[in-house]
Amino acid sequence: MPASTIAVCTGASDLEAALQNLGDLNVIVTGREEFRARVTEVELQNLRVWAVHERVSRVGFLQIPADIVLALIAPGGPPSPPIWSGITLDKGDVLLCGPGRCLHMRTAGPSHWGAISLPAGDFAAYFAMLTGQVLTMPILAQRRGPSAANCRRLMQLHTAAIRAAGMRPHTIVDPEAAHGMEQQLIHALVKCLSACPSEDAAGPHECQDVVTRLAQLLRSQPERYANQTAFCAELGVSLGHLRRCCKQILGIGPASYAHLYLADRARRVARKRTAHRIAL
Amino acid sequence: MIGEVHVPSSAVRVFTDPDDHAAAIRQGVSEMTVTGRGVFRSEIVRIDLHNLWMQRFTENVSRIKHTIGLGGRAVIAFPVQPGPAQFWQGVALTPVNLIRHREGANYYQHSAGASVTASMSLPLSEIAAIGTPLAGCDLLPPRDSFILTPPPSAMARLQRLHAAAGHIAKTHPDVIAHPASARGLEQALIEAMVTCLTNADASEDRSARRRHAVIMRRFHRLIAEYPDQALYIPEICKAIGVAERTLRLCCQEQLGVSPKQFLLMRRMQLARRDLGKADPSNATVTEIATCYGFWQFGQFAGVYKAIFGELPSVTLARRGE
Repeated sequence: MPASTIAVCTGASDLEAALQNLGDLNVIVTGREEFRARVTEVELQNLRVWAVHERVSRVGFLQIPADIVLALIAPGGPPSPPIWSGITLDKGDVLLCGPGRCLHMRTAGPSHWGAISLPAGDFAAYFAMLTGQVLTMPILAQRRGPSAANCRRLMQLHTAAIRAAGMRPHTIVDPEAAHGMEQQLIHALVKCLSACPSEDAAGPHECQDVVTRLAQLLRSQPERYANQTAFCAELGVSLGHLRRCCKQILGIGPASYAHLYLADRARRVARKRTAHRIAL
Repeated sequence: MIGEVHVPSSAVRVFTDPDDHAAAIRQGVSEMTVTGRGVFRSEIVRIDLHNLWMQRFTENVSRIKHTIGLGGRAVIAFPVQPGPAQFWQGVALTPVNLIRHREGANYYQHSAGASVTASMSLPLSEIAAIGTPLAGCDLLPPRDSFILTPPPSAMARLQRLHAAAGHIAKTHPDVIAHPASARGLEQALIEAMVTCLTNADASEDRSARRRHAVIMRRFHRLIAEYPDQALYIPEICKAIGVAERTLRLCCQEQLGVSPKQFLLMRRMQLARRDLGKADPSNATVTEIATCYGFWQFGQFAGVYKAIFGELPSVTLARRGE
């Protein structure tokens, strides 16, 4: 059933919950300001659309579901979008991410970004039907530089859909209007991606892989990795290489990342305990 | 006399609704999508002689017409006067051409502006009977419709007679109704028609155009399956199994507009139809617009006004008045 939601998030866990349909997201705040984010999500029959406005700098790790294709878009204008796995998106760029892929994201302050997701099978089918070509599902995120006209149309529709969710949510709920919105978005997305040459954005592939494994280590046994040497031993990389990769993907070093991760984890545990005590 | 005898008659009807106009077209099931801006207005002059049926269609804006012939009659059609381009299955027509339809022909025709077109038909039994004595050949409908270019004098005579019949139907319909004068008119028209059919050059039938016609038939079938529902390019491409580029080529050729424009016009027309019928005390423009997949209402109103010359709220309010 088509629907729309708007969530105002006051903490990292709120943001993770608000974006749960985007994938498995883990957020670590790196800024000192008060956390504030607004997430608008539009759920259509098969397609979902998001717009996210964030205030505080942070890093995040996103695991895309195994059956979903995700298009990350940079709507343009200030504030800037996040940097995805070391990739900076310019206004109007679309980053197509294949099913099951992992991405890191980081922001250096306030940010604004959007996303569109579709089941991988549906997307491939629509792409083939509309273009007559078989889509090579990106192994890792592929960056596309859409032509101005195709890009503008997709951005316009994305903005209009988000605006409709905010100002006329009853429109989203109407099946015919929702169907029209979905079909137009699918069409614009396929045109956008097929009209322009793709650029394999898996450049920092190796660093992405190292940082992904680092994140997984921290999540699985955080207490075991008290220092960078332990990380390097487990990951099988030199300290210098680990530092370079973290700077490139996360914008911070491995020690800072581990410190922030552990501090964030401790805060969440404390919050849970407090909530449990209040419930009792 | 050969064949069943009908009482001669004529009628002149004026329409402001494209659906009503399409429903009044004989010898087939027709649908019309207006593509031009402004208020639609049309006239159909219908003349039924003893065996020969004739129609003259006058429309004031560009449009796309789809017709599925009913069969049982041999039908020809032709543009009446020079003016904005007219196309049949993507092929440009002028008043020197005529189309010889196959039985049960399924086709698109479109015009680039105001147009006047004519058609004539005879029962199959009649055309079969007169073929040999008059023409020395079989005049039954061909296997595939095609365009003819008759000798200029023959075509000019047919045009003159058809126009004269139309004029008489408007000014002196009692002449049409008189059996003797109807017979004289009919015989002259049949002779002119047969002369055109037997001395004409046929246009080359290209296989690419045939393939496109097949695609357009599938396109139309899908639209006919969902007469009151908004349709979109991704699902149409999926349903008929062609890439958007091919569909665009076919639509540009046969409809004169892109599929996106055609589908938008269709949705607009469906919305206008409902706005015209709705009770303004119960319905709103927003409700009706969303039924046809419109969700950007400012844009909807703007495009609606650009096409129909009035805001959707005005159309809705008119029903209440």
